[in-house]
Amino acid sequence: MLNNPTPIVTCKGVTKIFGKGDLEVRALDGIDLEIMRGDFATLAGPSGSGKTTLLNMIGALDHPTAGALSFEGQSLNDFSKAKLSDLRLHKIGFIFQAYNLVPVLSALENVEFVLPLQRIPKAERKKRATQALQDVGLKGMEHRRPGALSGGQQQRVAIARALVTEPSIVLADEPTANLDSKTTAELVGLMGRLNTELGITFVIGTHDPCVMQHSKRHIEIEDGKIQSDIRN
Amino acid sequence: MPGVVQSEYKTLPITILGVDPVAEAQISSVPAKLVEGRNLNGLNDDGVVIGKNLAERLKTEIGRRVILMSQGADGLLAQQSFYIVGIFDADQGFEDMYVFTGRSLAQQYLGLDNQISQIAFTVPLDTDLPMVMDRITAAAPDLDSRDWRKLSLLLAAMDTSMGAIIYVWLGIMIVLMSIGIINTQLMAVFERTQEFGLMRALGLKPKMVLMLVTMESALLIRLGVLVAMGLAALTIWSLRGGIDLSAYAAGLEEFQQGQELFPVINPSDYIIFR
Repeated sequence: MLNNPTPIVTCKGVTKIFGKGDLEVRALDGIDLEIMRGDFATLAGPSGSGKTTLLNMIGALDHPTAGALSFEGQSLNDFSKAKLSDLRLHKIGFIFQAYNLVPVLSALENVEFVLPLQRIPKAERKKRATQALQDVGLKGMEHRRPGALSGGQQQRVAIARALVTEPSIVLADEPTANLDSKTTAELVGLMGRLNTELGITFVIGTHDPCVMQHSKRHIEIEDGKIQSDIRN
Repeated sequence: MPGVVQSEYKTLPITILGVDPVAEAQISSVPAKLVEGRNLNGLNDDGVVIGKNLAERLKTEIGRRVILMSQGADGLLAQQSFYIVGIFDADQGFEDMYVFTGRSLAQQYLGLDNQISQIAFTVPLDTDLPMVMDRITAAAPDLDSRDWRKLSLLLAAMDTSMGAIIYVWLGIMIVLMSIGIINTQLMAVFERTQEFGLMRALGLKPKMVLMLVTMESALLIRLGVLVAMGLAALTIWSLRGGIDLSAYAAGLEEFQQGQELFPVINPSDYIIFR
């Protein structure tokens, strides 16, 4: 944990409403939250509680219906689509439940995928992708395609892909839902180590008690409202 | 020249054609349709080549004599005996109508000296026809010059309507292909919603995703065109022996058309849609 943590993401009264009239669903209802640099936070709650919606807001994938959202002090409410894309490219890493790797690319190519968009030279791209794969314990598997990797290994590739751009924050939505308990423990250990050693900020939406046990901050959300926010 | 032909048994109306056999072979399909005997061998050949059906109606054959009668240049009846040297097999109407003999001999028997009534040219490309007609008209303004479209109005009308039908067909094909391509593209895009969503989440701008789809489509179209061009060439090559249209022979013969169709593809067909 940093000595003087600064907020990366600030939510003030963030509300998200889907549908209209009788079909209106209030997915987020006045969320006030600050994600600090160096946090290893889990976002827990029952299905439909608003975890994914909140992660989408923090990840600049969606606009709130009401409330203010800022990223490193910059208000996201007025950002254009292109500017939000740039923000995601440079500042935010994503890890998904279904890994979402490109099946025809090798592990190394999957990790390298977004680096050309950051205009990083080819040699540097390869170096960084190789290092990221090494950091997640996949040394020697750089040229395997996703089909030739286990679920846990694929998720490690996804973590490496999220880290390679050196983001300010990594958002993970149910990253261990498709994995067995042993692989889950390994993966959570890996993310914890990356947080401690490299200071990478993680926000993880999860149901998994194993993930919650390892977290330094536990946020409980229900019916679109934060029920509790506890630092361990 | 209109006239009649007379055998031992019958007299029938015909048109007498005095031809230059060497030049005639280049513009007429009749020499190639000879089924018996020989073709005329010169301007002074004193034999006649007649149609198969005419021969049957006259109850005559190769080596027998027929008498051709017509009005001579002096207005009097001109008649001369000819040996049948060849029999051709075309459509019935043509067989009954025309009798061929050497040009010099025909001029002599009709008292025409060196006068000729018709010079025919073949123009390899129909698109060159107006230019050729202009040159012929300019070279011989006193002669009556007509292209095949004016000489055979029915055939010209058929050709024009066939051209229009082909364009209508092409239009229908293009519309159908467009629907197919749009459908394929829509399916390809909708089925990849998750992939595009991932790309957007990873930081690709909307225009980059659009560019990606456009480039993929362009690549697919290019590949499709190359494969189609190859298949077209292969199809034409496999039909190099001609398409047998003998089942429609009677209809085709009405227009002096052969019974085999030889498809040809030119390099320009690949480049320009004409």
